Parts: sequence; structure tokens; C-alpha cells
Amino acid sequence: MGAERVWVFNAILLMAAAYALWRGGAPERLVGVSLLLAAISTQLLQYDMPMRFVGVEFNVLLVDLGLLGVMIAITLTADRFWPAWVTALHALGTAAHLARAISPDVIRLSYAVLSAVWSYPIVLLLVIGTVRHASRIRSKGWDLDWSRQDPTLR
Amino acid sequence: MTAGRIDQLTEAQRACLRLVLSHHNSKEIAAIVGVSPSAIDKRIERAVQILGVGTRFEAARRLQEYEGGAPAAPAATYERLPSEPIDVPNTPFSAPDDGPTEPWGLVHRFIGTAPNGGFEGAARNRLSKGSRLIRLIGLTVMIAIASMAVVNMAMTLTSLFRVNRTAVAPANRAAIAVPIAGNISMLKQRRQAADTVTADFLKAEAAVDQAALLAASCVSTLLQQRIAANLPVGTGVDALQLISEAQMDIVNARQRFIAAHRALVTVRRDIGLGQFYGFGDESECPPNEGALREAPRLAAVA
Repeated sequence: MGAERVWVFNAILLMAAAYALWRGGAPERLVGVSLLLAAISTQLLQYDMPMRFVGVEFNVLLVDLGLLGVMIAITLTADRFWPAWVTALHALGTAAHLARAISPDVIRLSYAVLSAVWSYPIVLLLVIGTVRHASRIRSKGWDLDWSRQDPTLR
Repeated sequence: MTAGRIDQLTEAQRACLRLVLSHHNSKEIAAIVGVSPSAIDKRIERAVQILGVGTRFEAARRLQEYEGGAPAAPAATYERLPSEPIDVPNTPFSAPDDGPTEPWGLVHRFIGTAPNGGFEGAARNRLSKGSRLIRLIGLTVMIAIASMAVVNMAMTLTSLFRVNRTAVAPANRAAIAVPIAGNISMLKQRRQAADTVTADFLKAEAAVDQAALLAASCVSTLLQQRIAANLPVGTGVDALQLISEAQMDIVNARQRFIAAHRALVTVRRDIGLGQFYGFGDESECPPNEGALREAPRLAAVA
């Protein structure tokens, strides 16, 4: 059941990212591409199964931190509300590494679960964000990508 | 002078005025913005009031003078006839297509930083970076607390259901059941204790009942057989006397069992097990045969 689950997630992620690239604005496209890159590099960089999640997964931690940085930047500048939720969820997934590093009692499975469960709502939020962007484009004809920082245009 | 007042216009009002300037009527603006025409009228009236001008066109011109920085795009907008399809209003202007000519054009377009001369409204998310950061942290904490609460609820429910699942085991089996180390909650232990006591008590109660019945029929048999055998009245007086007294004692014992039955029901309630008969839709019904009930079984006979 383990491997199938991973492939199901990859398929969902691939479809969501493709939809974001096709119909999304710049924030959706960026998040979609970053999620894909993060998933691929996690797949390539994580330890082999006997060692996986035994200690802190440093490679995966680095990938997660990079993704977190991108997400925070998008949250701070995009003219959207959903990136804040995505970033909060991913911050919790990243915090799983911290929990494992601080407390050695955390067992492998809960470490793995705690760093992975958040991915599903993140992908869901990306799809919702893209749908809403597309519907704004349809009804108004335009949708800002990044909030204007120019005070006269507020 | 009007600049200060223009500052008071909301972005929604400005967007309407810009569309007024390009000769859209209220109905068309309503279709573009996605609200009712009367709401558009109200919005524009309010803007006209704020600017202190006579007509909506006057207000629109004031706004255009104020925003005059980009005459090219509005100029293009002026020429549009009302008969043009209004549901594709701005796409033609947003693509000057300077992308491939610059080296980073494609990247800029991908990440949405390409310069873009078309008409664009106000930002939806107008929070500053600081307040976004604070909201982000708040959201993280909130999601963490909420998800932990859900996990906790799930665990609590699981352990409750586990108690109920083992609680439906037959009462007499509970007597020989050995507690599995570490995995047994206090409630389950109490539940087992109560079941064990109940089983034994009900057996004793039934035995005393039976004893009373047998003793009474023994007395009656004794009397009947003397008559049937045509024996003198004095025959077996002592034996009859003793058996009757024994029967009285048994009836007294029975009375005490009835009292004990009531007391045991109270004990069960006191140690927090009464709820398993009154509440808990998820549990199967406990076996009726071995259960103690509120009304003692013997009360009807007594």
C-alpha cells in the first residue's frame, strides 16, 4: 500500500501543477513548479528505505526549507490569500524535522506522517486558488498577480 | 483641490468611473463588475457626491485627470464602441508582447513581473508585508492547535470505543479473563470487577430463591403426606417445626439478597459504570440475562 500511495500523490500533484501552469496566474504557476521540484528532489534525495526517517532527513529538510522560503516570499507579495494557508501548512510539515531533531522519542512512522500529511491540503489549496483566479479572469477580465505596493493605486 | 477628495474614492468607485469614461452604461458596467446595475448606480452616485460634481461624466473626467499618468491605454479604451463584446474587455491591451525581444522576457512573463500597460484595478490583498507575516504565524499556530485537537479527539474516541467493545463480553467470561498488561484502562478494570461480582451474586440470589421454594414445598409435602397416609396429627411435629423455622430463615436470607441487589446497583453507579447502560449509542447492548436492573427481579415474587 505504501508505494501505491506515493504514486497516487504524485499523480494528484502532477495534475494540480499542470492545471496551475495552464490556468493560474504567476503565484499559482510558481507554487505549482516549486511543489513539483520539491517532490522530485525529495524523491531523489531521501535516504534508502532501511535508513529512511530513522534520523533527521537532512536532505529532505533542506528541500523543505527551500520550498518554505519560496512560499513565504509568495505569501508576502502575491495578491492572493491562499498562499498564507499553504505556507502555514508547509511550515508545520517542516517543523516535523524540528520535532524529530529535538525529541528522539518521535518514532519513524509519526515523523514520516507528520512531514507528509500536509501535502494533500496544500495541493488542494493550489487547485482552489487556480480555480478562483480563472473565475476572476473570466468575470472581470483581469486579476493582479502581485499586490501593488504603490500607495496611490491602493 | 479635488485630489484630496479623489483619495476618498474606493477602488470599486474608481473602476466604475473608468468604465464610465469609456462610454459604458450602468448595465454594461454591472455585467463587467459582476454586481447589479442598481448597485453600480449607487456606487457612481456616491462618487459624484464625494467629488462634488454635477454628472458622472464630470466625475470620470476628474478621476482621469488625476490618474493622467497613462494616457495611452485609456485613449485606446475611448475608441471602443458600446457594441463591442464587453466580456473580453482588456485582454487586447495587456499583451504588448515585448516578451521574446528581451532576454528575460519569458521569465518575467512567467513570474508575472512583465510590464503591462493595460487597465488593472486595485489589489485584493492589500495587507502590508508585516501584517501578512503576523497572519501567517497566527495561521500556523491555529492549524497546529486545530489538527492536534482533532488527533486528540480521535485518540480519546478510540480508547472509549475500545472500552465499549470489550465491555460486551459475556459476564461469566469476565471472571476468568486475565487483564492484558498495560493496555487496560481503569474503566475497563472496574467494568470487569462489576461483571464478575454480578455473575456470582445472581447465581447466589437464584440459589436462595430456589432454596426458599424447595423449603416451602417440603413443608407442604410433609403436611399433605401425613393426611394422605392417615397418620395421627401428632406425627412428625418436631420435624415440621424445624423445617418451618429453616424455611423462615431462608425467606429472611432472601429478603437480605433483595436489599443487597438494590445496594449493588448503587455501587455500580457510584464507580461510574451506570452510564454504560444509559448512554453510549456506539456500544452493542449489554447482555440482559446477567445484568443488574433497577427493579430487583425478586421484588415481584416477594
